[in-house]
Formats: sequence, structure tokens, C-alpha cells
Amino acid sequence: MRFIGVIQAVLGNIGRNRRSFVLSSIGLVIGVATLTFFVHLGMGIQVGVLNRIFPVNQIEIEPKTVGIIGLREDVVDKSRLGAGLVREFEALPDVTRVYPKLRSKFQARLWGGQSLFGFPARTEAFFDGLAPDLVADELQRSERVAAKRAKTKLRRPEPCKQDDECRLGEVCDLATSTCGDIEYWKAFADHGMAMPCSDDAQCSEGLTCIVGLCQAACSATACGAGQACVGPTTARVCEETCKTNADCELGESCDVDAGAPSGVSVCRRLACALELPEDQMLEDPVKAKGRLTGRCANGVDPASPACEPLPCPGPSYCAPTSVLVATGYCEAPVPVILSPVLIELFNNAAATSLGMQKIDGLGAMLGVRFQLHLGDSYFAADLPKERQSTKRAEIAGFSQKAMDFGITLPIAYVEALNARYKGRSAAETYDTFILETEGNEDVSKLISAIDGFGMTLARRSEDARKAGDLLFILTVVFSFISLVILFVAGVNIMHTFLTLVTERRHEIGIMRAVGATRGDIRRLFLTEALLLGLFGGVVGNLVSYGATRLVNWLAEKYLSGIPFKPDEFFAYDWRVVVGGIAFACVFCLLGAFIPARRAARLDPAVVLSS
Amino acid sequence: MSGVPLIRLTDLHKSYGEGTVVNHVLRGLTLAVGKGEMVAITGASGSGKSTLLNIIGGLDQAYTGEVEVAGLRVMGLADKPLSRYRNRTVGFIFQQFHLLPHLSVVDNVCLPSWFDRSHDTKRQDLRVAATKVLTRVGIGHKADARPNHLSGGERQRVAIARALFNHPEILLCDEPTGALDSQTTETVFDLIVDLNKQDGITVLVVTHERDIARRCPRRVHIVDGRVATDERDGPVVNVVGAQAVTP
Repeated sequence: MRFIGVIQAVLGNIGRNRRSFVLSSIGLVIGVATLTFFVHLGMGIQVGVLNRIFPVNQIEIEPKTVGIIGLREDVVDKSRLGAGLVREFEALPDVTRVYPKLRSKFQARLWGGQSLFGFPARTEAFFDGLAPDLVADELQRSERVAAKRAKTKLRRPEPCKQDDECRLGEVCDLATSTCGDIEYWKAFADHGMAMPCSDDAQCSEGLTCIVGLCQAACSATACGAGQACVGPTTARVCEETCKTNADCELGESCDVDAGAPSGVSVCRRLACALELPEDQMLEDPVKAKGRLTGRCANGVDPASPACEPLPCPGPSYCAPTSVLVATGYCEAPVPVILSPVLIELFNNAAATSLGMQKIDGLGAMLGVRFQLHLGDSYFAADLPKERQSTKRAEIAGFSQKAMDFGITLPIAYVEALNARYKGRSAAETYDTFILETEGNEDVSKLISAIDGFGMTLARRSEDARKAGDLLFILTVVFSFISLVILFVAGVNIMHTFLTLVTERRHEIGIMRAVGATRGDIRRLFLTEALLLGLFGGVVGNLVSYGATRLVNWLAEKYLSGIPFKPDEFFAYDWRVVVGGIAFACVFCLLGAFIPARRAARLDPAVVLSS
Repeated sequence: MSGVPLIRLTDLHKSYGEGTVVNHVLRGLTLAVGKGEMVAITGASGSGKSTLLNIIGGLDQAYTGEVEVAGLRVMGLADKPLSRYRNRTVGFIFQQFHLLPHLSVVDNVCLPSWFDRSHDTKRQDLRVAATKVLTRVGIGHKADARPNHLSGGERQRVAIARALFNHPEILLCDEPTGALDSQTTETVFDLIVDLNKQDGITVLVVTHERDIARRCPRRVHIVDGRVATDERDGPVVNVVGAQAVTP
């Protein structure tokens, strides 16, 4: 049969049987719509939620423990859980990076949140540290940085040189010299702290206690690239070289150092002083800035009474070296990330019990500052006052990798603080490790490999695996249901086509009389079924797409308060779309196969004479 | 008529039913028709006239005997060559017209071309050809109408046009005027006669109308599944139990 004939005949047939065509396609449409909807949803949840919270290429492992009379003990010798083990993990096949996690090993308290709650809240502080680049992506997503940047682009660019030239809530982007929204996630990095010490053991690895501060000691040649050896002959230290203040960390200034080679400027931490030691306990942001030691705004001799005081620059504040003294160094606030679980915990339990306001959305908490009191505790014995100190911290974002009950800092801070309060060995004993693997391949081999190290999958990764398995099972179940719907649609189509064959047996006889072969008749019915399948498949996909849009819209409208709700619940894949259409066609063809065969076998002499 | 007959039927047997209720329709029918002949086939109801036409036209393959049309042994042909034979060699005209109601007149006429793989004519050219045939049968002006908007005579003309579309050698007419009134019968049959005379198409007409039969130069009467009489204008030849007519 000629193609033109097939098309003309089939379109004519569909045209006059529009109703039965549409009715028989309903089952197909529903089947394809459910199939593609649930497969897209399953993929979307996998990609948009599970893989973000628990990336498939990251597994968290921790030392195995055994229960001994009600207490759990690590199997692994704690002293092994250091940098050496990190290197050993990195040597494992498939492992591309290892991110250790380190918990705080000393007592601390925190208070703050006046702006949020109306009064300062107080609590014991538990914290851990992790590598900032591990969470950078997640922080940007939860802060919706892309949307922020898109919004900024729509505005007229406002030129600036420094932050205070921009409106409230905006900062000066030095790269483009225009104002833009603050991106809090950027703050989650190691800005460094002035870490007082009395001996080398209180400093992190590689640092030495020099004139009461942990610093990188140098001989004339031992500094790294971009560093210079500066300071008096008795206390030579490596410092970053710079040209302007912008090259230095917040709280540092680019100065010519007496001990530096001529013409070289280095970044040095700015010394400062508060009015009174007690001021560090206040939330007052102005008093917290203190005044720089040895510098005046009007450039006069710092000892002279005419000296106009300078505060710590930008967002930095003056951090005294202990609670007993008022002198210290300018520092950037300690960046902190929180777990969304903590906020939910607070909203669901703490806020109601304590009569505090619930926190709506995470955005409001970004940039909120609070104070950490290190060495002081509600639960355990305090350290001696002279070893206690306060730090200001700022919320930089939210991550599922953050501690569920506590706060999370860049790991360098925790290392430095652990070293200061519990000694260098505490700084080098990691608690868990996140192993990043090459791709999404099966990690069971890796899990058996880490078993040899006395390590096991951490609860969180174990949950992720379970959640992934559950999601997979759910997707399979729903796909199976969709296939059952398609099967029923196929049976319905068979019935429709059997009716059509009876209705059209006369035509079939005529066509046979004018030269149609059995194959032609079969082809006519199967082509009609194929078109029905294509129609059902395409409409089913459209319906499914509409349903996905609706779900996204409803989620955006009614579930906006849920932290970490993805913008997109569905992952679209052309293969699923094509697969849905293909399934519809296959079920149609299967349904029409027997009727088509019956039509082809009709005896034209009999049907034409009846 | 001279040389090899166009249609040669030898000892055809055909029966319907099984077991005790077997109805023998054809009992050793033998007939030869020359090229360009116009033959009326008459007989009582159930005498096997239509069955004979179906066998010649390749619609019915369940019989014994031999059928040779235009040098082709029709019996036992596979589906494809048999369909091609129906498509190219014979044209059917039925009492009930058998047009496809959802297609326009011109598409009905083009219908055989859908199943004709031998040439790949464009749809537009097919329409032109179909309109030409429709004009030939006298209803070129109704090309775009639907069959159910036409009168009985017009419908039969469309059916004739469809039968003629692929230029068949043989026109098989099964009671072509059975559903028409007497005046329309006249004009439609005039057309069929004309096709025979003008275009030289061999025509077999099954009919029970004496007037129609009388207008055919040759009349074959079937009784009990055999040719009882085979008259032609001129001498009468009784062929019961005889071999094929001699020219």
C-alpha cells in the first residue's frame, strides 16, 4: 500500500471516529501521564533533594564503636584519626577528596539574637568544623544566590569604591566596582583568628607560639610564595605580602614592616582595644569595634590627646585576647552555618516552650550575629578566666552537612580553638570523614575498603542510602501502577478496535476488492493504533508536564516556609518523554494486533455479499 | 472473437456449508470468454452467478477447477499477486455500489491507486486522472461531493469510475442496475455498453433482468451450477456438458 493511501485512509478513519479515538486514548493519556509524572518526580527528588542533601558521590564515615557496659567505645585508636588517615583515604581507589570533620573538644557558651527574638538568648555551644568548599554549593543554593544576582542585574548598576557607598543590605563588589546584594555564603571561609598561646602545643600544626600569639615562624628562607619573613630578629614570622588593604584579610592592614625587606608591605593584624574588658560581653556593635591601637584618623601622634580614634575596619570587631583584658586584635566575625533541622527543632519545640517567636524562613537569619564565650560552660567546669575569651560570630548560611544540634565553623577555626584549649593532639583527631568519589558508581566496594580501617558508614550516609533505596522502590511501584493503567488501556483499545473491525468490515471488503492485500488491511489498523498511541503519549506527556508545573506552583505558594524545599521537584529527561510515548504506542499496537489480524483475515466475498 | 480466450473457466466446483447441509453452487462449470466480449450471466437465485463473478474476480479462492484470466492462473495465487490482479486486471461493480461514505467521490475513485504500488503518482495527478474518469462516466461535476449526497444512478457511475480507474481489462458487474429505477437503469447500462463498445473492455454482467440480458451480445444461462444455454446474437449453441465454445 502506498504511504499516501495509508495516511489518507487512517486520517479519514480517525476523522469520522473522533469520539472513539478520544475515548480510547483517555486510558493511554492517564497511563502515560502517571508514568512520566512519577518517573520525573522520582528523578527530581533524587537529583533535587537527595543528591543535594546527600550527594551520591559523598559518603560520610566514622570510626566503628562497640558497646561496653552501656558505654560506646571507639574501636580505632584515636591517635590514628589524623592527617595521616586523611592521606590514606585519599590513596584509596575512586576517592578524589577527603574532607575531615572535627568537633569542638572544649566547653563554650553562646548568647545573642537580640534582633531576632527581642532579648538575648543563651545556650551551651557545641560546634564542629568542616571544609568551606564542601558546602559552598549548598550555601549558595539555600541563599538563592543565582536569583539574587539576577535581581541585581536588573537594577541600574551603582558605582562604588567601598561598602558604605552602597545602600543598606548591599556591599561593594570590588571586582566590578558596583553595589550588589550581600552574599553571606562568601563569609564562610577561614579569615583567621589571633590565637593567644603560652606554648607551641596550644597552636595548630605548623604554627609556633611567638610573642604570645600562634604564628608561622620563619627562618630567612622558609616562607611560602607570596609571603615575606618579617618582624624583629627574635620573633621572625611569615606574613602575606600585599600592595593595598584589599589584598589582606578583614582586620588586617597592609603596612611596611620594620623587619621586612625594603619596599615590601605585609598584611598585619590590627591591634585594638575596647574601653573596658566587660564591653566584650555586650551586644552593642559600636562598642565592639573598639579603637585601633597606635593609629589615629587624623594622622597625629597616637599618644597625643588630639588623636581621633579609628574603629576596627568594615565588619570586623575588636576581639580581646581574654575576658580579663580589653586589648586584642581586629577580627572578622567567625562565620557559622546552621542545620535547617536545628531551625525546625527550634520552631517545633523550643519556641513554643520558651514563648519565643518562631523563625519564618531561613533568609531572615543570614547575617545575624551572636557571641561565643569560649572556655565557659553551663554544664562543665569553666576554664580559668584568663584562658576564657569571647568571639563574635555571624550566620553565613544553612547546610544539611552542618551539625544538627550545634553550630558549624570552617574547620581551621575548630582546629585552632581545639589546639588552644585541649592541645595540638586534640586539633589533629578528626571525628568523621567525608569521602568524595569520582562519579555515581556503586560505593559498596569503597565501604568494604573503609571497613578495613575500622570505619563504618555514618548514620547520615546510611540514611541517605536507605532514602535512595526507598525512593527507587517508590518510583518502581508507581511506574508499575502506570504500566498496569497502560495495560488496561491496551485492553480497552483492543475492544475498541474489535468493534471498529466489525463496523468497517464492509469497507475492508471493498478495499480488498480493489486490490488491498491482507498486509494492507493490517497496516491500516496498526497505523491507526500507532497514531492513537502517539496522540495518547504526547497528550499524556503534556498533562504530566502541566501536573508538574501545578505541583511546583502549589509548593511555592503553600510550602514556602519549609527549609530546603527545592524550587523544582521534577527532573525532566527527554528519554522519559520518549519512553512514555513509546510505551503508549507499544500498548496500542499490542491492543490492535488481534483486531488487525482479524480484519486482514476477513473473506471479502462474504462481507461484500452480506 | 479469435485466438486464446481472455477468460477460461474449466470444470469449476464450489460448495457452501459442511456435513449434511452442503449446498453445491457450481457443479463443473466450464466457460470461455473472449477479449472484448460483453456477456450477460443469468440464472435463478442461488444458481451461482455471483459466486462465478467472485471467482473470476479473485475474491473467492475456495473452489476446485481452473480459472485462467489474461494468461494468469488465478487459483492458488498468493495474497500479493492476487491483490495486484484485483487491482490491475479486473474492476468490480456491485448492486449496492459499495462506496466509502466518508470519502469524497474523487477519493472513492482514487481508492484503487492507494493499493497500487506499480507507480508513484502524486495525489494531485491522481485527482486529475480520477476527474477525467468521472467526466467519462458523466459526473465530473460531482467530484467533491460525498456519496450519500448522490442519487442511486450517480453512485453507480462513481462505482463504475472506480472500477475503471486502473484501466482493467475486465469489468465484473454484479447486478449493476439491481438497485436502480428503470430510467436510471437504462442510462447506467448504456454507459456499460458504451465502455464495451468504445473502449473494448470485456464485460461480464450478472443480472436477472431480461431487458438487460437481452442487450448483451452474448447471454449465458446457468442452471444447477452449469452453463445451460450460451446464446449469442446469431446461432444458439447448447453447451450443457460440452467443451468451450468454438469461435
